[in-house]
Amino acid sequence: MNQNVQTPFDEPVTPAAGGFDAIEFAENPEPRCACLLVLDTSGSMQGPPIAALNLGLRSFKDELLSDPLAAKRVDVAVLTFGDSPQLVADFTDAANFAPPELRAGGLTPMGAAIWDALSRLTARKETYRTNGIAYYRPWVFLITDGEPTDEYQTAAKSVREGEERGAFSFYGVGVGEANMAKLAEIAPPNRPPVKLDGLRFRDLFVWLSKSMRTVSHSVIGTTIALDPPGWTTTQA
Amino acid sequence: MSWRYVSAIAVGTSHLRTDMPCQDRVACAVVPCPDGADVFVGVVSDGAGSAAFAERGAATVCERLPVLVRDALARSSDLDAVSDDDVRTWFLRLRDELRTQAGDTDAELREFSATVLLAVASDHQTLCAAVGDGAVVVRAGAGAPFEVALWPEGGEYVNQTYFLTDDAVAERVAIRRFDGVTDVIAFSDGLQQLALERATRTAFEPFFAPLVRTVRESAAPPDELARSLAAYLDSDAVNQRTDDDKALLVGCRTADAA
Repeated sequence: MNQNVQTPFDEPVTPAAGGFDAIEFAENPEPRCACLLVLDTSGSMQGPPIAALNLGLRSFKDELLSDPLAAKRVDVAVLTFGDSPQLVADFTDAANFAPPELRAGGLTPMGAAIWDALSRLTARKETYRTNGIAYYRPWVFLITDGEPTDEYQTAAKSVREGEERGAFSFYGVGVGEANMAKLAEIAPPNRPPVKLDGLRFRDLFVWLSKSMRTVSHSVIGTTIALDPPGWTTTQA
Repeated sequence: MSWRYVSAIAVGTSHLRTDMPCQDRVACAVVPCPDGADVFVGVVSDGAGSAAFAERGAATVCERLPVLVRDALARSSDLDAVSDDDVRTWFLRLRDELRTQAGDTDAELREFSATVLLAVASDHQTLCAAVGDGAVVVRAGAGAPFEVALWPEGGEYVNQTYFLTDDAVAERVAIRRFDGVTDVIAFSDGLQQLALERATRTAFEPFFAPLVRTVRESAAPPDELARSLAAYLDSDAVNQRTDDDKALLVGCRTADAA
């Protein structure tokens, strides 16, 4: 090993493909359902919203752990966008998921975040295949309280194309002053975005964990029936 | 040459929780051919969880497919005389049968959705055919490795597959032929996690070796062996790895008379 090659210590070290990371699949060979949370942590989320979101993430983990099969099968990652898109929690089974403590600040580079999210999802599927892990259709769950401050049309196109192909299921959720019209341009037409009732993040994540439990238990040919979300509002 | 075989099904814990019946079915038969040879026929079918008459679909496959195979062997046990087109015709006739039942029941054909795994083994040749998931594993003699004859087919995601009732069924029938097979195992997707190593696309030897050894060496009468296999399929060890229905058959060619 060349000791002179330095990795800047503020940059995550990318493990070599097929590296030690793959041990997670030896410990847990269960099929995976990837659930990528793409969360708006822009400045406007400061205060009660970010606190409620953090509480929601912790509930998400607790709820998933209450189901032994879901704890092994639901593969969670968290990507935030405030400054630039940042993967604050890389994919791991729910049992090993450490809910991050998110802080608010910055703008809303939603386009870049979606772009990053979709490429990470593609890479994760490739990792499953390399390691012989069966998988369910992944979920991308985007939550925002604003509107994109960057170019988002290209990302929106990828979301719609991916959803059409069945590459993933995309869910868009608006909070507070979120621009629902722009979110509707991004979310697939068959699953329009929904509006969170107040700051009911906890209810949202309980519902999400329930839905992931349903998916992770689903067997061939079963129509997956999700509970209606009880945390949305029809108010624009 | 003769065949010793055993088969069993067991309801999945998820089906018990939701009051759903076991939708897997299995059938084994030995067809005596006019040329004196015995041909083993094994069928596994997994009815789709979302289909209203899934178990009837699976049961029909297991009742009718051995009859279609027997009729095809009415003159000779030579499996080379059975073309791939003949095999596809069996699947299409099965689908017609389901369509008739659907018509009689005033239901859609897809309400009878089921997968099909078929293994036909004469003294020298073995023919495997399938639509959908589950798998067939074969071995050519003691000491030889267990080989996955037909790998589960179904698409990208683990909770989707192909069914006999699909429009494109004729194109989706996977067919493979082997020589010198002595042991045949077929099982529904509920057992895939225990039996197959996806990373290497191989059969998990510790799962198969005891099955074949037991069928070959056990002195127990067939029905007792079947009960013991059903008990294994319903054991905690299995149910901790899968909550789905399970169907399994094992056929072993032996030198002695059965």
